[in-house]
Amino acid sequence: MMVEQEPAKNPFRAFAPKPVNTFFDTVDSDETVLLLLRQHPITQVKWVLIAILLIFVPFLLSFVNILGFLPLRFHMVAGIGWYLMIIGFSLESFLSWFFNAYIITDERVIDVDFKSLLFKNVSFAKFEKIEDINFTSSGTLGTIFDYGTVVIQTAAAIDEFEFEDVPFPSQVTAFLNDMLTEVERQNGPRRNS
Amino acid sequence: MFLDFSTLNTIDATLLAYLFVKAMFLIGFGVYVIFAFVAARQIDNMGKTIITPLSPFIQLLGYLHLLLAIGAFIFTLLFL
Repeated sequence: MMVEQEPAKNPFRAFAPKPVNTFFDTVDSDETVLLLLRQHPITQVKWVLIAILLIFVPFLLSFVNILGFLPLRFHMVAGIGWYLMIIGFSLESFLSWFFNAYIITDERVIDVDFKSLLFKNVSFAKFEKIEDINFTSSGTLGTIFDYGTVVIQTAAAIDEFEFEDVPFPSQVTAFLNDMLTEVERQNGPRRNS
Repeated sequence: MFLDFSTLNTIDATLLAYLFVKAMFLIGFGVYVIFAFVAARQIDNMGKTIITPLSPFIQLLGYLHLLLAIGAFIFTLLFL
């Protein structure tokens, strides 16, 4: 299914089948990235709106004249500080979205967590270790924009992978199931112990 | 030469207030420079974890942000 789709050339895509020139650091030489997922862009609207609103705060404060007791050059530096903070906030929010990626290769699933600038976690699970896959799509936005959370139960060290708010969760689940079937066909059915 | 304490009384309280505000700005921008440095390092690190065609551009963005933060600190130091 995913194999038949055109390779995604846009590096900002949240649902990128066979992304062009996209790898991860522990990739094997014969391993191929089949699908790269990020949170649906609609889930990022909140911080974009907050950043836009924050841009106008100095204009509102100029009516109240809260820094009126300070000379103009202080106002200027305060403005620079304010806009620098907005840039920092936007940059961190964007990075959290961009690097918080879920990758499906022809051998395993990879969950790259980038929760903040100080926290990074990368988890892997081979297809042989996957036991169960399901997804939930809830809420008005989730239903309208077709995004949800795909939960992968594994027998690996990390017993559960969550692909949060990814686009087309039913397609992702179907694709993972296809991959599992393919792996089982190649390796023979797994024995539950 | 002894310090004439009577001249100290002439120091404008406003000037002290300005110095205090300047110190606060400098501390704020100093902390921001540290944040920008950590951000640039983490972008570098993540750019090596997930390699996309966009990685070099985002790394450049991180360093530009750091330069901006250092620029703001120096500007405050010299301008205020």
